[in-house]
Amino acid sequence: MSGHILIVEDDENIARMVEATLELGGYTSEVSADGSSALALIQQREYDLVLLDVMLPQLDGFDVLAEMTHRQRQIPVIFLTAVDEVSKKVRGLRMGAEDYIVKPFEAVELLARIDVVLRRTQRGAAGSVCFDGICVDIDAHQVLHNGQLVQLTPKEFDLLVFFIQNTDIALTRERLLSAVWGHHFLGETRTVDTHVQQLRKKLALAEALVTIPRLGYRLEGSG
Amino acid sequence: MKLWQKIFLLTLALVIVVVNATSLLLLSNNHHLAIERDRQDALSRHNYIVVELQNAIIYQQLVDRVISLDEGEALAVAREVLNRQRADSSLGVALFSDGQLLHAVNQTAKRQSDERTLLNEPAYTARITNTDDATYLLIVSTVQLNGRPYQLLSSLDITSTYHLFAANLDMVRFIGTLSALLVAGILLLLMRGLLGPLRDLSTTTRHIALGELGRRAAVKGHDEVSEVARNLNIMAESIERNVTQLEGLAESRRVFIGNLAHEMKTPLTSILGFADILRIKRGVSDAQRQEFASVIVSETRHLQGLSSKLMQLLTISNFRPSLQDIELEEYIAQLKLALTPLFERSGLRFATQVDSPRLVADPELLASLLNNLLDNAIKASPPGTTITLRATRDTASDGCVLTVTDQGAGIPPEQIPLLTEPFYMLDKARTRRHGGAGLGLALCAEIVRAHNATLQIESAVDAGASVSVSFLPTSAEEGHEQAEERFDDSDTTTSREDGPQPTGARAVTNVQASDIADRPRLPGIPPAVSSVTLGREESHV
Repeated sequence: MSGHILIVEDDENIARMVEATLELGGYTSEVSADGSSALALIQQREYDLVLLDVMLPQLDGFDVLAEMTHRQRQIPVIFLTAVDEVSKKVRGLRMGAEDYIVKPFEAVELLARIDVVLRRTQRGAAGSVCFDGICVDIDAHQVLHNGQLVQLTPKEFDLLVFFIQNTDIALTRERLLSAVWGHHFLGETRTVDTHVQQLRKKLALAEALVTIPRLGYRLEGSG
Repeated sequence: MKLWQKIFLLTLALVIVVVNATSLLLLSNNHHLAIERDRQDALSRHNYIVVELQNAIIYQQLVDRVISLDEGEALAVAREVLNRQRADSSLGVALFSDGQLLHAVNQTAKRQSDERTLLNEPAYTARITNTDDATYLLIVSTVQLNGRPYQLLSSLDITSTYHLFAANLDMVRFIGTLSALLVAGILLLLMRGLLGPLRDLSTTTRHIALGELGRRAAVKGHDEVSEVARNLNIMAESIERNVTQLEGLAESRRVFIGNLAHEMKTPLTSILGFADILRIKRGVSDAQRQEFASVIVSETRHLQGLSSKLMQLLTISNFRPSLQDIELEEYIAQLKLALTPLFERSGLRFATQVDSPRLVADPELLASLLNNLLDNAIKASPPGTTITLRATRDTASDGCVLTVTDQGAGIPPEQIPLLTEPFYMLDKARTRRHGGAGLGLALCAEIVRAHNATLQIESAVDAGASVSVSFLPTSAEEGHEQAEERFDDSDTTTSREDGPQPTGARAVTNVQASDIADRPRLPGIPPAVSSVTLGREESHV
């Protein structure tokens, strides 16, 4: 996935961290430290997504979102906040925010949420992803390995897509489980291992799909 | 059974019994008197007839000039006497001889003549007898006429006396019932009037118990019930006050914890985020590793500073300061020496002025207080300006006043009262950059409170700020006593306490107050003997 994202966050270090995380996910980003300059940027430039901190000096996150709605700048917004309070969550979502992430969060979690939101808002843009001779047509549910059609089970397919989308990022088994099998899947992490074995065998990924000790797996590009 | 029902029924029963008993007693007494009067009347009339009879017989004897009349003539004379009674129907008379009725006047007497048994009684006998619906008083006596014994029976109609009695009895019953009804009505009204406030009180108490704490009972008059109402109101007020206080405490503690959580989450977000990137990213460059790791280190330091400030806040609230006489000139000179590098780094000048020779305070807490105040001043000051620390004597109280003045950005007036609240930051970004968490002035306020001193902040935008702490004039010994008082009653502190307290810490204070009182006291250092020049000393760094 690619996209240009605006980070509105008043804490320098957190802003830098989010920037680094987005970079990891292959997104480009800009940082704005307060509500009014964020609004100015939104007005001038095009963004695919806004990551909006709720607690900002002067104009807070809710105000910024309200102003965006008012100016009819319809850019998907994900709130970042330290306050884990249901009423605020509801308020944010009711105002039209796409999601709500409570600090602190893990890098991959942020990327996954962004991915979901962008996928939802850019409908039909799923298209295809490629990795080193493997081309995945997401809409047609087809995998071509060096031009040859490869048969994958639906879960193997989803797992492959998630790996390619997160190339060069180490993914824990838990993260893979929740991303592919869903949050409510009660299976064991062993399920992940067997599917990874299948992918390695079917697509000759023994080298690229690396096991990271005590962590999980990482699909490593040749670069 | 309810109280009012008990009182009502008892009083009503009592009234009915007393009224009826009294009137019955009076009535029967009256009746007896009437009967007695009738009896006297009957007796006198009876005797009159006897005398008449005897006189007539004697008169006839004299007319006939005989000693004894013959029986027939005597009877004729007696009949004539008796017949005179015909005119008065109320009294009937009958004359008997040896149980035989000789003559009877008036119907009643004839009827009564059946009462032969009376005739055997000796001398006078009176008896009351009822026939049909009439009542008679019978009197029988033996009369010697013409040398022979006769029995004379007179019967007086006393029905009217009995009728009167019956009528009176009816009247008494009527009046009794009427008065009972009247009393019942009055009692009910009285009960309502007297017990109404009690019912209101009960309602009010129930409402208060159900949590309607603002509810008060109506206080009317000065009787016992209104006294209870007054006392209930006093109780309700104190309950309401306590509950409000507790709620306020809980609320400010909630705010404190919320702020604390927020203050912790901010560095934690950076730490977790960067650590996670370092963990999962492939091929992290050296420059990036260094950048990410140094953020992690600095944010961890921030957390460390936060936790140590919090610990200080907690300990000051629970700890009695160990007061000592401090030679201010020497103390401030040392402080200046220690802080010189810091001021040089920030490009600031540090001026001191000591007009007051000594101060009774806890040296460690005083150091923490001055460090925090100077730290704030440094953060607020642009390079090239001067920060001044003055120790002056307050002419009014003769106490010592420490003042830190800067030439920085100043504080908007409406923000000043909020400054001593934990986690309050004038400029969040700048405070963070300096590694602060908004606890410095809260800590200062706590230290000031521990010394029974007062904290005053004066400032205007772009005119710098001046923070002064006024200590009361005390020796070390007195100071200990005052500090002890502070623990006995935390409301007596004179420092500005309008704003919410750092309640996480305050709540513990009361619990541990007794425990602190038991702690061995640190002996105060005897007052310094060396005299200190009171001159003006000013220097620049």
